[in-house]
Amino acid sequence: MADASLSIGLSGIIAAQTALNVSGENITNSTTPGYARRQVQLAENTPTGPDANMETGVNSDTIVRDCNMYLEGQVQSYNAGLSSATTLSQYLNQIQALLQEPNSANDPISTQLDAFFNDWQALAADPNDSTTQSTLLDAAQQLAQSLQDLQNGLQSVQSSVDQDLSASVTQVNQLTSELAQNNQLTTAATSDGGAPLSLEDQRDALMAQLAQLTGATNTSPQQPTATVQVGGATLVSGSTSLTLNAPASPGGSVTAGDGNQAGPVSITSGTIGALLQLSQTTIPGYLQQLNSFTSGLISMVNEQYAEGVSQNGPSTSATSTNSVSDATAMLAEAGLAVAPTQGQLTINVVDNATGAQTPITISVNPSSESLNDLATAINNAGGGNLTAAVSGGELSISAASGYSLDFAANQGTNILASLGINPFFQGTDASDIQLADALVNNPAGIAAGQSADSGDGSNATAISNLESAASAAFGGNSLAGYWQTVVSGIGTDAENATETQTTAQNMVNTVTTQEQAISGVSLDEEAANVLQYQQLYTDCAHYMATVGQLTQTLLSYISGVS
Amino acid sequence: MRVTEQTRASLLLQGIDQYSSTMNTLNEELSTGMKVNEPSDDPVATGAIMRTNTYIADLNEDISVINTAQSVSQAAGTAMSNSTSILSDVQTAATEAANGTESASQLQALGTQVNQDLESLVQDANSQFEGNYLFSGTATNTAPIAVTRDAQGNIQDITYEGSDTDVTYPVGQGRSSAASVTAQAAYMNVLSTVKQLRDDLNNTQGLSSQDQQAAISNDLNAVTTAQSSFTAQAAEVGSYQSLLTSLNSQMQNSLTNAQSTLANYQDANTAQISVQLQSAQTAYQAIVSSEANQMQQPDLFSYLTG
Repeated sequence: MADASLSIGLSGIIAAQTALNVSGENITNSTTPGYARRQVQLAENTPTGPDANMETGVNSDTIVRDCNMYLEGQVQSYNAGLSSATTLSQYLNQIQALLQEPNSANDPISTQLDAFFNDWQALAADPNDSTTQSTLLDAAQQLAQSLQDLQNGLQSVQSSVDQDLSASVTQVNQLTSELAQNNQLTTAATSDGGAPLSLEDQRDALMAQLAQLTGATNTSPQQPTATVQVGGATLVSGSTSLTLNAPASPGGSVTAGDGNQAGPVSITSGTIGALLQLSQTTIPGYLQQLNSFTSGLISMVNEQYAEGVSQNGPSTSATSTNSVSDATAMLAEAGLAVAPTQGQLTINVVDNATGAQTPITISVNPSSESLNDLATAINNAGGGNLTAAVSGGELSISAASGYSLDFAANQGTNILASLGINPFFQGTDASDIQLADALVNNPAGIAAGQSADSGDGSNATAISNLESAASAAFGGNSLAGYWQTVVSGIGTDAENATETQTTAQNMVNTVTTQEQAISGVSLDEEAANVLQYQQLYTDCAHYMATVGQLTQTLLSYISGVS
Repeated sequence: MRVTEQTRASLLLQGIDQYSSTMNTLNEELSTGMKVNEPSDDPVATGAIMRTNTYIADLNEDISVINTAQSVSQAAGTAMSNSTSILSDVQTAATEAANGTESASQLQALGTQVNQDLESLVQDANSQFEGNYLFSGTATNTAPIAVTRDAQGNIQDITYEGSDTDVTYPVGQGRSSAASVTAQAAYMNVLSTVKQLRDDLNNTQGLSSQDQQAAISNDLNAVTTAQSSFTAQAAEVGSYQSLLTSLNSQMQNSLTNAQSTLANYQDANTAQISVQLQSAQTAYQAIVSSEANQMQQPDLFSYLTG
């Protein structure tokens, strides 16, 4: 009897110690990420053997981890949304900071565009004022530089997105391989009689990080081992993990490199989802808008500018600055950035001695004429006073001796701007826009009028009206209006990302609170447990001491009798 | 529901995050004085601000062009009003000469006076403003009136060298206005008429006294006609001036309105923000102090061990 009583007491001692250990574990890990609180499940020992009514004490072998896998999955999924929104918002804020809009005090592109066109207006009012001329050239160079700077800025954001993407993919590969290892250890330990709970903690912590990066989900939450899927690809299954590759080139997709799962993996959530969206769609979209704006600016200004004459008067020759890829190819297919349109080209031949002007008109049909054909047409129409030649894909037109030429007429085609003859801007988009070489440090060379008269600002007036002129290239919008929609669009994207981030944060807070209500460690509870199990320990010890005393008493009687 | 220390700490952090971010935004608005500091603050207002900024910049440029045109117009008006009074002297001399009582030497004396008037008129026609000729149309670098002189230095031939196209000023919204007239329109007739009068007073053709008188009478009529057409040209410059003045005041009004529109879109209401900032600070302090107090409160362990 004494043996049984002592072992009952001992089971209580062991239970109290186990429970105190568990409380200790809970208290020390109360702030450890991924840790779910443990509880000892005490149960009465089931007696075995013939005397089934015999008391056998307490069983404290089972320790459980308090965790709701459904809530855990929700926390992971909302966290994936949150990190996606956070990444988007962070980068979109960087991008809109590059714009410096809308405050004119920051001298953003909209303000520089106003200044550029207003300087044309000022020049129209005073065409031969050298200060006004220089101011205009400065404004044009500054605008061109700012457009290039913005392009470079967007590209550097794009490359930092791509670097982040590559680092995140590396991190995902590290996590999936750790998770596969965890699965392997769990399987081995389960077959040996039970996996340590710390492996479950580790599994959940790894899963949480994976979800944040990719939005991946554990498709077997009820199993001890995790099966992780994202976008139809299985990242982890049992002890194997799938290695992902970062996009090979900017704007590319994340791909899987392994055997039967090789190919693009669609990741639309988490940090990587956001980075892919930025790299594939958002930033290229902004770049494309910036380039449309810039090429629209270049072609509108150049088209009007080509019709002008500087105060130096008509010139002896004019050469194109945009070359065609093939002088025998039809102009429409000759690789010109600004597509030439069909219509009448007018070249004025000016007799230097008399000042008499003879307009020569040439029909331009880009779909049936090559640059060589155009040169021939000019030669034929020029009556010996004009010579046109093509060299290196560039057209040059020269006036015969004693004559000069200009293009001061309402041109029916944009061929001059398309070929870059008598240009104001050079370049095709935001990557290479610049003031035409002929005008650098040559303010007097600005073609402000349609005659050489010092007070003729008619061409400058026409250019100054372009800022607010509707253009088909911008869907009926003006240059200034188009830029406003671009900036508002970027602002709306950034605002939406920030709002999504706030909403996602609130959702994460809510589900995390619910999850913590189950899995979190409460120090007050642990204190109560410690007190309770300390008491249990003390009482069991007292009980065993009492049993011991009883045995001692019995022995002393027996020895007294003998 | 179980509330753990972790939950409490994360609630505190959420509160701090939320109110710090609110206070940060309000502080930015207060320090810049603007409620839209980046496009995402209000994408719609951003578009409106940019449009209004463009409009204001355009109006400022329009006003500046109008000011230039007004200066040119005023200078042209001054030169023409000087010419008007010279012409009236010429007419007085012609009237005197035409009444038939003057002797040949008196007529010569009047001829000398009219010659001086002719020189002054040429000078007026070739007036410049800031280096540009006022009456040579778009050929602002070329003196509009060129003359040849005889051996005595007297004006012989008078030609117009300028352009027939008026200088026009873009005064905004696609409109343009001229500020002056060409010497071709205003001065050529006047100058040749006055020259003819001078020649007849000096009797350079050696006419009989009777024929000279008849010629001078004709000249008087011609001077009167020339004077009235000159007055019409001067009135045209005057009409440019009044158009420009009225445009200027219209533009100034529009500018004032546009600036107040911009302020509506852009400027922060500092009084309102100060109040919002104050209330955010109060809320921040409340949440921090109440949560911090709770976190500092002894937990069960403190009672058990104490």
